[in-house]
Amino acid sequence: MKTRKALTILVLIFVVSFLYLTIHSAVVLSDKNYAYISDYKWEKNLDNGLAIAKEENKPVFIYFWAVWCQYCEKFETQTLPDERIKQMLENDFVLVAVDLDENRATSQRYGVSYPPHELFVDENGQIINRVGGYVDADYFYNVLQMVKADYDSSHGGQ
Amino acid sequence: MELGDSILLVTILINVAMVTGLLLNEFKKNDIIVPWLKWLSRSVFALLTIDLLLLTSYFVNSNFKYTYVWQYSDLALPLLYKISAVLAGQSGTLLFWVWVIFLSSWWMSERQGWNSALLRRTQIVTILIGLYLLLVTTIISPFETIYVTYANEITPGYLPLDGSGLNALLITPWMAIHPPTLFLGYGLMTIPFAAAMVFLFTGEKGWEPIARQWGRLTWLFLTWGIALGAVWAYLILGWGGFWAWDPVETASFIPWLALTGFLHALSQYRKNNTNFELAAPLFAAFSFSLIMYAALVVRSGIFNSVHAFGESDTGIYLLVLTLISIVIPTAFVIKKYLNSSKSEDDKSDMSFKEMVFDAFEKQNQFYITLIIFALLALVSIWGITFPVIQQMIAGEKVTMAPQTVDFFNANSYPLVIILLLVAGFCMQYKKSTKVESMKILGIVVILTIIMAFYKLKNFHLLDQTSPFFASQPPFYRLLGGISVMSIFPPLGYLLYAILQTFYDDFKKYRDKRKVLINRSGVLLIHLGIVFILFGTPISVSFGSTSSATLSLGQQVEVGGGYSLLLTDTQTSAASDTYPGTPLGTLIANPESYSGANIEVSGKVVEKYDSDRYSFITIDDGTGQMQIATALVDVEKDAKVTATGLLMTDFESPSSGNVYPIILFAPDVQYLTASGGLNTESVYLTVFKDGKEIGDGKAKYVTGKSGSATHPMVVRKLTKDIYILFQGKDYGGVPVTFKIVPMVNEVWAGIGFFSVGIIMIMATNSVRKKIRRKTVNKV
Repeated sequence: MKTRKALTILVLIFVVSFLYLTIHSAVVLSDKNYAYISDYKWEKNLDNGLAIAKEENKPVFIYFWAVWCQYCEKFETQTLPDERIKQMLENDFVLVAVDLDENRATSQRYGVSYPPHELFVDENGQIINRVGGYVDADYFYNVLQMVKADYDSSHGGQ
Repeated sequence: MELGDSILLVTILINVAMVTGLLLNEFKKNDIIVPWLKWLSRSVFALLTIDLLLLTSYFVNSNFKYTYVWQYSDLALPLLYKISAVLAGQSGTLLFWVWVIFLSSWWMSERQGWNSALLRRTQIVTILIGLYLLLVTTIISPFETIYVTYANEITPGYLPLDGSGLNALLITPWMAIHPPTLFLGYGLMTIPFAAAMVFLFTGEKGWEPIARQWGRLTWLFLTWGIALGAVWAYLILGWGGFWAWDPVETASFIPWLALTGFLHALSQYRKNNTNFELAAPLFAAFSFSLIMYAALVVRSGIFNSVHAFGESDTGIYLLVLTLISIVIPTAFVIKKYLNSSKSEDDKSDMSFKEMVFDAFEKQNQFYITLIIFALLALVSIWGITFPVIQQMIAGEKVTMAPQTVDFFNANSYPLVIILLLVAGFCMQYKKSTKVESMKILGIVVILTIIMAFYKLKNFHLLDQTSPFFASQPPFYRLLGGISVMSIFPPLGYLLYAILQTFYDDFKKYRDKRKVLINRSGVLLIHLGIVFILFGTPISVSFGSTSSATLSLGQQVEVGGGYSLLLTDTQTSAASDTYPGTPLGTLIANPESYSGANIEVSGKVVEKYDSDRYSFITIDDGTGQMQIATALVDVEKDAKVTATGLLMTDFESPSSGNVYPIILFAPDVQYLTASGGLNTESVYLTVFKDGKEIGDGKAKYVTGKSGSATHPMVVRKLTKDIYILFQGKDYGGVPVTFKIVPMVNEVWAGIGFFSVGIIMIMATNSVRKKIRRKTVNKV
């Protein structure tokens, strides 16, 4: 009996320190408004994004994500920080991040049923291209170039 | 009231009668209910079966009068998925769950009867739980009609032409069987829980054989349920793999851990009915309440967003049951513990050295095993729960670690290592050779520690190349530096122990086939764990991914000596079927329809608003015509339907325009479906070093409820060649090419689990003895 008691006490100490350590190493995600993810500044509202797109003559990149989604984290830590991608996204695209849990209307409008989901639309909200799920930087960079080419060819003279 | 709801109500009444009668019998020795019990149990089960079939028939017949059917089905859905859609949402799942509970209750009633107090009491608890969930089912009834759900938005008598469709990700055979399997497991756990409760309340010793066999069956279904979900995540969630620690995945894994702990506790308890007499029922209770918790996580939406908590229908009811099923048994266990600990404190004067030595006694090793299972469960519970608590309290979203997987991997890993070592030690354990076994264990531990420092590529607990690693808190950097090579000595040790034990067993029990099969079943399950824990880290760490763009007939290198040849592509589009009279028919012969009330539908090609009316031009592929209706807001390209009066050569009094053919409709409605799924398929041949090693097709499916990828997988003994295709949107066919090593070893491990537990259940020696005992009592 004594052995087990000793073991139990040991385990309880372990549990308490586990809880303490994990609480203190939990990470607060971006800022409270989620305007920042992965060092990018995002619009949260699609309509605002579309208005900016109209003004600046750029396609819109809508990033659908969720807090609980591990592959979003992978996308945010491995794909988005890529230098080529960062440069292209910040210069040639209007960025909108949609939290799937909070903005269901936008997700339903585009038939987005899971995060992460990368959607490209023109200033009227018409889909140019979409990628479902996590993709690596090379793949995503390819897609960005295609989207830009598509967009530029359809917005020729402007 | 809907027929389905009426049946539920009758079932509730019968159950109330049964519980009342059984309680009268228990406390007042009133036998009035006893002769009826068998038939009442049969009728409850029969009624619920009818109810479930009724709901299924609504799906099969696409009866969109029912909100639940409308939400999760549509006309174009193949029959199999119409049936599987019964479990696509909350209320249907709950009905199925309740059905499983009463299936168990009925089965026990038929097989074992009602003659012993133990059986009657177990049934009382089972029926009470079933009754509770039955009441919840009536509250969020799957038989609710759209006229109730959308009372303010639709006119009575309106019937949607089509449903809103099942999510494309769910349209796969894996998803057709994953939910029923998992919820079978969830429902079956009710009986072992009930039996454990009876033991805690009354001290009935006979609870163990009931709990054991039902517990094993539960374990089998939970294992399958989780495994099917893993295969689905691996195949259909494409980029995902199966080791994601997604809250939903984690949630169904937690009761599995508790149940596995429970079975370990029982294996010792049954020897003399005193070992772990508190731990065993406590683990049973936790298995059950964690199942409630899992259902809460999976089905109620609380974990997607805490904001959904108020909207979520079942959340609060499941939460209540979760808490009740934890608090009551825990209170009883504490009470029992306080009563018993006074009496025995025999070895209180042990020295530290003796204590360490004592810790290696078999019972104490099992105790450590149970603790580890509990701790593993704790890590997982905490990992999915703390962010929710934090959001509720502090209003901010947090994750447990920069990458959530890291939290689960890092904290579970050391526990798993200890578990493997203990398992190996226990298997080898003989009282006579204890010191020797301890020496071997010591060597393995030293090897494990050495291996923990062995640097190999990226085979660390946490991904050190990730830009996030540097920003990890020290706690994770410390754990993250551990090399996963350290899992191999414990795995090898356990494998050795399994093989050695099998060899000994085979010699010893060669003539007692039943015993041999039973013991081999146990070994096989542990072999399964070796396979799973061998395959998982390798498949997660050593996979490779590349992407390529293919064009027809061209062989393209994708790295690693592999190349791909695109041999064919195929597209099958969803058919654009529009209900109502085809416009071509109307235009060809407008006079015969003039003045009649008809239905038309098509795609909006033009829209013009006057001050009072909207004029909408629609096209259904056979022709175009105008619809005049009260001012509405419809988008171009939307698919709409309208029913109204057809007029020919109508002259507009306001504009003077003459319309050769026009429909006056009170309103237009969106068509929710155009039917079916778009499927793009690519046919590929894979070459390795110029030699063909396999071919097949990869599909990309889009429907109105999302899209899904069905990769092509070439299975090899040591790896999967996995090719993902996500639609050919731009020049050529882009594919993602993956090598996933050792993943088939994981599936093999699951296979060993299943065969092993079936071997154990099939040779369950005590069952007959107990039944004889019960019969004798009567």
